Amino acid sequence: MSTTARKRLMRDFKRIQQDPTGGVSASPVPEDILMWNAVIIGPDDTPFEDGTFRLILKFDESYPTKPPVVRFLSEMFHPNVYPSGELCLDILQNRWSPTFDVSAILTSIQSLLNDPNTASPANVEAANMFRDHRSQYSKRVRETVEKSWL
Amino acid sequence: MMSDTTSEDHYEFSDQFDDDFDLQDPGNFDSDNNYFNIVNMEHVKASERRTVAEIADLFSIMVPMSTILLMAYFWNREKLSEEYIEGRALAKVGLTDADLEVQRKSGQKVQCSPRTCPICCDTYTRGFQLACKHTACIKCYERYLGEKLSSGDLLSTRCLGQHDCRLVATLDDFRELSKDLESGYLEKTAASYLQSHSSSFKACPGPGCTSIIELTSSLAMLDLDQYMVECSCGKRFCLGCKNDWHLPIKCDLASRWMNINGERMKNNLWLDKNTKPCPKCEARIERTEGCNHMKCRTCHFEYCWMCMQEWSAHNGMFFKCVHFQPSAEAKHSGRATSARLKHYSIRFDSNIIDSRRDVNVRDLTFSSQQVLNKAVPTLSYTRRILAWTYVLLFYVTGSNQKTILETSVSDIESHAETLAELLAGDEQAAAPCLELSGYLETRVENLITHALETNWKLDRNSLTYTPS
Repeated sequence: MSTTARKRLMRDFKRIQQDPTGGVSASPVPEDILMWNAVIIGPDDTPFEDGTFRLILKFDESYPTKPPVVRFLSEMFHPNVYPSGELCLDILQNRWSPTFDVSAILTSIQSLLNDPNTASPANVEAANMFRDHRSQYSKRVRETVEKSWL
Repeated sequence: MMSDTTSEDHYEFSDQFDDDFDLQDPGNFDSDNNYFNIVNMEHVKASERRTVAEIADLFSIMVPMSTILLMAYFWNREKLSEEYIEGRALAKVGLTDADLEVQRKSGQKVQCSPRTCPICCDTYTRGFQLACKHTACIKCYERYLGEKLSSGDLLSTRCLGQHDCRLVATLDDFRELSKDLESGYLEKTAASYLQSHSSSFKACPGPGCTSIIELTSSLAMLDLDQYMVECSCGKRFCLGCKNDWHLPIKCDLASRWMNINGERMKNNLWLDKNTKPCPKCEARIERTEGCNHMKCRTCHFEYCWMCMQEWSAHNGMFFKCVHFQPSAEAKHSGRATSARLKHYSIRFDSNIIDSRRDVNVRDLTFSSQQVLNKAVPTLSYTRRILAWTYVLLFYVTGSNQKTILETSVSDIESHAETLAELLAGDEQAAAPCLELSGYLETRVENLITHALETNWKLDRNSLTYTPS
């Protein structure tokens, strides 16, 4: 079945393979193009460096009019990531635009890692620690980086 | 005066406040006043256009951009002007000065050689582009902007042609695309204007009504919760909370009451709401007309519908019926508040139902138009005021003022009873009816003033009561 959503996801897949963006990779699961696995590598020179954080992206037929639901599978310690792995990112909610593709979504999440928005925290402990005890925060993040390799 | 319970028709309590009875002389509803005008949406749109044009003039920007900026600032002209001068306003909608120059032109439909749409990946020859000239297929643009309209988000209608382009589709672009999109856009901006001016515009909550009550500045400055309006559609509502009117009490108590009493009413069956067993023989009795003096058809016991005591016990006075006297047992148990609630809610329900039932009295044989036009509406009005006065009595603690209020209620109850009996009777006594109506009007106005102007001390138990 060739719907707009599926057609667009095929193009997104081709684009991400032909023109890989640094530090992110993603592919649909074999039997379902609406379900993607992705990995974001923690950016260099940040506490997240070398982490291999796994995510899942769930699209539906309203894509790209509506954004996918994105969730971290790896354990995260980040002000904008809920304990469930779901994340609070404006471009995945009210600032979504159909021009964003999978690679743009993952790149945005990657840059969110070291540039959290503490104004609307999803994890209050992480937000407070980021603000007041940066070294302690880095230590907690490093723990999740090590867990991400397992 | 009564009939046995056989009626099949179900009484919907949720509708009970949508009464549409006529009131000829309701001081508070007088539409011939200086406080408000009843206007339509066109009037609001004209007012919106003036605001938009002023800002466009002031900063020499295009009208569509002025609309977007005003929406971003919730139509606060002062704040927008201040931040525009400081150079911060454009950033709020994600634009730069350079973008603003580009945005002066509107977008356009384009015809092109077949190419792939960046959004849906279909091949297209009919495209659309904003002034930035990044193209996407016209279907995607229509779907996207239609989606933005239905979600009410007109501030992030970004270019679809390129993902890092900041340009925003404005009214001009919606217009270029289609008439429907243009009119949808205009509806949304007007709605946004209306919402941001809720202190001066109150949309009528009447079903299907599109009128808007525009308050004059003198009223907008006042506490609105004692002002009731009547819209041209006949809907009466409180300017403070937009619920049905609830004089002589204010919005906060009325809404507390509806929270606890509304729950209770929803849980009861029609039978419980509309019928009561005869206090003597327990035959189920439904009262279909407006007087509280009941006589059981089965056992001939005469009693009061509100307090269920023998009628003669009133002795022409309703004070005992109005006043709540806790039983010795209830006084010392935790159920006192619940007993109080029951006492007052029975009286509230009873009067609300009567205020509506009394309207039907006009079906009777009264020939005097004057009586119908005056006595009937006055009786309805009186019942309604009484209903909400019982709510006040539930919430206030005992005091001299409360006793005075109870005395007034008792007096008004007894005169309303007499009037209801006269109206329901066979004799067409026009003069006494009119006289009684005049008396009730004066008493009711005094009661409202007394209720509104007294600094009541509220009962903590009543305020915190939640039905179990």
